Amino acid sequence: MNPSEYTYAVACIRSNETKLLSAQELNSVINAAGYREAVRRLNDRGYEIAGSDYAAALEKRLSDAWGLLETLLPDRSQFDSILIENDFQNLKSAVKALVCDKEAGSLLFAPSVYDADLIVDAVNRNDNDSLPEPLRHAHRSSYRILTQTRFAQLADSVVDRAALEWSIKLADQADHPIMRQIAQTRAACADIKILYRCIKAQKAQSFTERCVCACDAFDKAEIIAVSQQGRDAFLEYLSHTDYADAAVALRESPSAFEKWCDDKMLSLLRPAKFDIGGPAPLAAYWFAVQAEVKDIRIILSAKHSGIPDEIVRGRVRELYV
Amino acid sequence: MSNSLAVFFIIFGAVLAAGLPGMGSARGTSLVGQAAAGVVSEDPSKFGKVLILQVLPATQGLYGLLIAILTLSFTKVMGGGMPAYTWQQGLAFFAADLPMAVVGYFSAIHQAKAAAAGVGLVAKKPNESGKAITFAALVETYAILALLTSILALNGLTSSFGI
Repeated sequence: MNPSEYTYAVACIRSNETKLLSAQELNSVINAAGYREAVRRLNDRGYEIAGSDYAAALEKRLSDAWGLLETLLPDRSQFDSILIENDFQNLKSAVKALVCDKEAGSLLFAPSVYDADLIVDAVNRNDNDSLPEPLRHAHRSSYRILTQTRFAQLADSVVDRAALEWSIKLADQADHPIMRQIAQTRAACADIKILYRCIKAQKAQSFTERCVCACDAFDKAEIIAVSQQGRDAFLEYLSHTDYADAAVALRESPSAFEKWCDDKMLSLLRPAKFDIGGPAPLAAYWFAVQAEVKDIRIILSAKHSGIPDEIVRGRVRELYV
Repeated sequence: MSNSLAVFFIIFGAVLAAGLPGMGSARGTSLVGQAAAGVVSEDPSKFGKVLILQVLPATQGLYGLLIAILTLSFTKVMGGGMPAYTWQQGLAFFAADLPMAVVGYFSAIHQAKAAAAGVGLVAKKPNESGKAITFAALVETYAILALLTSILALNGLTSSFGI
């Protein structure tokens, strides 16, 4: 990869970063007296939220951001490792819709590597060979599990694990190390989340083994074995790894851990602020927009429900700019 | 034979002095130009500010050309009346051109990287364009030092060879 290929794209992104909310602006939205005032402040910063339906405006914000990235990316395949997760989500939706005899249309995620309609069509025809190669094995497994056992949780976990494994595989093929770091960090965070849930639900080791994805951060067999010894042993194990802060967050609450995962990803990408080329600033912008949208969703939903600002402040993700 | 070899060294030195910094400047202005176009595509009002940054790495090409002209002129390869040189004298003129050739090339590229980063700064904080220009302009120091070294060396050689 020639980093100078991205010089134009990175400069465009730098201009667009000025449209991202700053921490101060986000604070002002949190401090707004009520939902209407919060929406007014957001609309002043370019959002187009009308009434109480903020979901459409947030979706538009995400699709606009991706639309921009798509026009700027010299090689879209560099982002496959980030987007492939949505293809697996679409596969999940398509299989579930088929099994429940429903339409998958409203459950599909974008942006994705492959055309979502192609996935739905192949799943509906049960034509495994028409599916893109990364999805085939996961489709076979999840379809069999759902139709034979109706064990939706296991079917989901099998697809999620395949998504992480393919994300790592595609990231290894990408030219830039940041893609590998993103994929590995995502996989490690997902493993911690899955194992913690398995501990809480007292899942058998055989189930856990099918859900956990191998990543560089942990020895898979070891972390699964530790998780079988209970929550305290698991958190103690984590506190001796690079993910020690995850243990602290998990001790606080699962939502604190979710926030920690998002913050960890942005802190990984923050050095891209100083890059003049390469795909890292573009990836950082994409994650930054997602974090911003997540924050606004948290704030507006809290304003709607009358949740105190202090609780909201503890939940919002760190921002990129 | 000796004179021919000397002329070869003198001309080769002049070609490198003009060519390498010229290549560096072309690469540098291209890099900053791409970054500048990215910013201007979003905000055309920043054209003036980013143009200054794009021009900065272009100077090495001019310095290189100056050294090439001085070399050819001091040695009288250009303009006629060239004395007979030994090959060692030709090599000495070649060596005098090297600081500008080498430093010019690399400083142009590195200055372009600093300027492209400056374009990013201008994109986010237009009021800080002066600082962005200063950061990139500091790299120019080394191109100027190389220019001076080459000029002084050419002058010294011209005097000592009694040309």
